[in-house]
Order: sequence, then structure tokens, then C-alpha cells
Amino acid sequence: MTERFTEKLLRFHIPLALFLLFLLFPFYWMLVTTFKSDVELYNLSLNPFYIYTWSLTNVKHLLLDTPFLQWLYNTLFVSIISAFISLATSLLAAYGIQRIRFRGSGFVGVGIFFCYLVPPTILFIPLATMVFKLKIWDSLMSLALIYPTFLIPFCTWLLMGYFKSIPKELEECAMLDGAGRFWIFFKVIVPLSLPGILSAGIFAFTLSWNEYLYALTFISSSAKKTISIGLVTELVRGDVYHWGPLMAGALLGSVPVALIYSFFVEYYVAGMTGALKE
Amino acid sequence: MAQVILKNVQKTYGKVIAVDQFSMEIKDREFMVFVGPSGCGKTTTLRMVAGLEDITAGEIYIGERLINRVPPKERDVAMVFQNYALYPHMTVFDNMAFGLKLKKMPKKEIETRVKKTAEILGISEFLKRKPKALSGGQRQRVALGRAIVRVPKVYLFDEPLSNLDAKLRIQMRLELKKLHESMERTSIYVTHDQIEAMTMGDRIVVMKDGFMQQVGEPLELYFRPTNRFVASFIGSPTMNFVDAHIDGSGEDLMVVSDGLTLPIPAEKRGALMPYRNKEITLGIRPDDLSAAGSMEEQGTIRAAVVVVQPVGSQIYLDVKIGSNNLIASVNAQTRVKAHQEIILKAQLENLHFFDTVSEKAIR
Repeated sequence: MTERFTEKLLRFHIPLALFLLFLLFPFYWMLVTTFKSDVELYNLSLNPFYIYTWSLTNVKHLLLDTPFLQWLYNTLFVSIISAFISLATSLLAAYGIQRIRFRGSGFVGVGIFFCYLVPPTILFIPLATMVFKLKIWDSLMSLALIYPTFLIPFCTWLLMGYFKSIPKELEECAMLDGAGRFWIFFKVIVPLSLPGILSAGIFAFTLSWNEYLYALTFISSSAKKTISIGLVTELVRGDVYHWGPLMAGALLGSVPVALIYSFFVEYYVAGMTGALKE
Repeated sequence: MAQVILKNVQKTYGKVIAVDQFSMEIKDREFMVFVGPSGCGKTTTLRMVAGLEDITAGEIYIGERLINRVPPKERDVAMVFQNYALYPHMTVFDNMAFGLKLKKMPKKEIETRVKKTAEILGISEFLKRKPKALSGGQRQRVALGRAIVRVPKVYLFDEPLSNLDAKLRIQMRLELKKLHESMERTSIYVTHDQIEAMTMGDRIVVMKDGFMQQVGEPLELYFRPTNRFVASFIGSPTMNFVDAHIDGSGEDLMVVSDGLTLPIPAEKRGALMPYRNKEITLGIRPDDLSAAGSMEEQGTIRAAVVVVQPVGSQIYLDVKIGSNNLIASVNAQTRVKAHQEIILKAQLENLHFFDTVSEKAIR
């Protein structure tokens, strides 16, 4: 009994605890820094892992003296729109490639995958030209339209894998029952793929939420920035890091994503492992 | 009238021929069984009738209508799949009502029809459950119900019983047959199980490597197989095949092999005359070998018993006759032990003869 307990402790609980410590420490650091006053923060003789006097100055500064709330809204707006566009497109694309046998469907699938492999550092220059010509420079629409360029390939591949796990017979049976392609798609495929669709959606949402390079390139006015660039460009002045508000921003910026993940974690796992289990 | 007519139907995948020269007429209300080993093209043929596979060449008619280019949803056929293909996110009721809703049938009628069908199949109490909460046998019934409730022109069954355990399979076999009799619809049933084929089919098509081998009523296939493949596929235990040659002088012919010499009955002499002094393959069904009292009787063979396998109603004997290994299915009362000698009597009028090269039956 005790032997088994020790074994479990050694092989499971202790490694897990170390892992958690490693993962959660940055969040703890953010939290601690957020609620410290500058005096305490820069006093090296104090214990850095502990808050002696709680202070809301950093949060107040972030919310009142910077356009953080505007950034939050911008990020939400861009993430939701681009996730929605990407999901709608890649659902149809993935279904088409996976289930409608047409000449070159395999090639299209691989082609889409290659699109995903091209790094944004190469793409942002030609994309900048396009954004400029479309006259959406320095607007949220530029991001909402550019993000799907890497989200669609990603979601398409994720959903293709999911659709593959749905037995073909379900569709064939529906076909014989008199259903057309779109009916089958909406009444059979979509309900069965909900876990996959949700995880693709979450992925698309977080990838746009965290995106940095395109946001940095295409947005210049402060009021149109997203959180990821707003914090870095407005709270780091030259070589001065405003650690307090910076960490407050990082904390508030990561909360929505963490919430979404924890709400849908079950679907998310099911979506990743694929498969309809009967 | 909903006969199904196939004319020279062919299906190829690239260079691989899956089905070739498939021609037949399935009569209205007939229960037709396609049987054969896996990969013989039976399921492909069924799927072509359903419209789930394109037809490479040839024509298929349902009723009077050429359906080569008709999409599956307009063919008015229902299919039961091997893995049931129930929609996991819908209740049993919704599963069964799926096709009716698509036909825009009024809600009231859908409800009465689904309920009536569920009653026939004994699944009324599960209507509100999802497929996940059902056993294999119950799922099978739901799949059947979903097909039946629509009352299409033609029913297609793709090995519907092969996922059930042996006992349930026998029970469902009977129920399906009864259902067919009450529904009076043309049915095509695909199976690899020859017993299922024999017990259920009005007629059977035996297929191998994409080609039809023989079409006929169950007993016709059993008693008059056209070639060695059909002879070996139909019947259990499998027919014994012995390399032999035809011997004899004048009108009298005999079939001779190592350890056995059997006279050939008069009605078969005509066909076998050209094979005199030539090699043939002799086929004897285990059921046509019975225990005999003495070597005096006609058609007796001396055999050494190797293994005794009682199955209750019969005893299967693995015997050695000369250098040939055969199986005999003898009466359960026969007193016999392994390593004994036994005298077997062959049913001479039921002997089968096959050409060694073409493997066709000699008649």
C-alpha cells in the first residue's frame, strides 16, 4: 500500500508538480508584479516573490492612462471576425477536399498545407503592399482579413483530420435517404464535428489574439492597436520598461484566452484526438 | 413493379477490374443474395445499384428506369450498412424519421409510421434513446427500421448481420426473412456467409474475382454447381475434391483414384465418355458419404478414420482413403473411433465431376 503510494508519488505527482510549477510561474510573476507598488518592485532587498503591500496603482494606470480597454476591444473584434471567417471557409474547404472526390483534391490539400508553412516574416512585405492597395492600411479590417491567411490553412487541416474520422456510411445513408450535400453537411457532418469545430475555433481565436508581426506592421495609430503590440509599443519607452502596467496588461490580456480554454477543454481534447467513439 | 436489371455492368478502379460482365434480372419482390469471398465484387455491385459508386460500363435499371446517371437520392432505394451507420447525435426516433422528414411528410404521419415500424421490430421503448445507449442487436434493428420505414422500391443489405454474435445472427436471419415476406419488396442482400445465402435467398448469385460464377435457387447451387468454385463455396463442411481418372470398358465407366473405385451411374455416362482414360476432379459432399455395413454394397470405400468430430446431429470424420484426405458426415449413432477403419458408402447419383483444367462441371 505505502509502496504503491510512494511509487505513484515519485512517478506521477512529483513530476506533475514540477511541470505545473514551471508552467504557472510566469503567471505568478505577472500577478505579483501587477499588484506591487513601484517602490517595492525596485527595492532589491525585499523578497521578490511576495507582496508586502498590495497596490492597484499599476492597474489604474493601465486602465485610465493608456488606451488598454480600446486595445482589448480591438483584439476581441479582430480575433472574433478572423476566427469566424476562417472557420466558415475552412469548414467548407476541409469537407470538400476530404469528401468530394474531384480531380486534384489531394494536391489542393497539400497545397493548402504548404501555405501554412510559409513564414509570416516573408509574407508581410507583399501583404503590406496588398493592404495598402486595398486602402485598409492602419485599420482593424486589415488584420481581420490578413489573419485568415494563416488561420484557414491551419483550421482546414485540423478539420480535414476530424472529418476523416466520421464514417462515410453516415453520409451515404443520408444520401440514400434523399439528402443533398448541403443538408448532409449541416445536419450530419457539422453536429458530429462540433468538438473539432470548437477546437479549430479556439485555435483560430488564440492565434489571432496573440499575433504580433502583422499587427505591428499594419497598424500605426495607438487607438487601433491590439493588446500584443499596444503593450510593447506604449509601455516600453526607449529602454524604460514600465514593468507594473506591462505585467498588468499581460495578465488582463491572457485572462480571456485562459477562460475560453478552461470552458471548452473537454471539447478541445476530443477535437484533438478526433474520432467519433460509438 | 420494381425489378432490378443489370446489363453487362462493369466497374474498374484504374486498371483493377472489380466487377465485370455482370448481367442479371432481379424480379420484383425477389430476395436476391450476392455471395462470395471478400473482394469478389459483391458489395461493389450493390453500391452501384445504390448509386454510391459510378458504373464504369453497362446499364442498370430499377423498374423501367435507366439509373446510371440518377443520383442516389432519386433512386428510391434504402440500404442497411454493415456498421449500421446510425446518426450518433440523433435519437432512435430521429434516426428513423430522417428520410421521411426529407420527403416533407406531415409530422403526424411520420410519427405514426415510425411508431408502427418500431413496434414491428420491438424497439418502441428505445425511441428516445441515442444509438450509443443501445446494444449491437438493438442498433441493428434501428438500422433495419430506418430502411423499412421509408418503404422504398428496393432494399439493399450490405452484410447487415456480420457484426452480430452467432445466436443473434440466426434469430435476425429469420426475422429478416419474415419481414421480407410481409413487405413484398425487391431486396438485394450481400453476404460472405453461404449459410445466410442458402437460408434467405430466393435466388443466389455466387461471385468470385468480379465475375458471376452461377445464379440459381439455393438447392440448385447445392446439387448442380457449375464449377469447382461454386461447389466448394456452397455447403458445409466443404465438398471433398479428389484427383481421379475415368476408367472402364464398353458402356461401363468407373472413376478411379488412390484407394477408391466407384461405378458411374448411367445418367452421367454420356457426359463422361469423352474423358475415358483422362484425369478429372471428383467431388463428393461429406453428406453423401455414410457408414455402410460391408464392402458388398455398391459404391463402398474403405477408409481409415483420422479424427472424429461429433457436432450433435452428425459426426464429422476426417478420413484417409489411399493418399486422399476426405471429410465424411455420418449419422450421429455411428460407433466409430479414431485410428479405426470404416466402410463408407458414397451416394453415387450425387457425385460431381469437374474438368481438371477449366474446373467446370462435367454434365
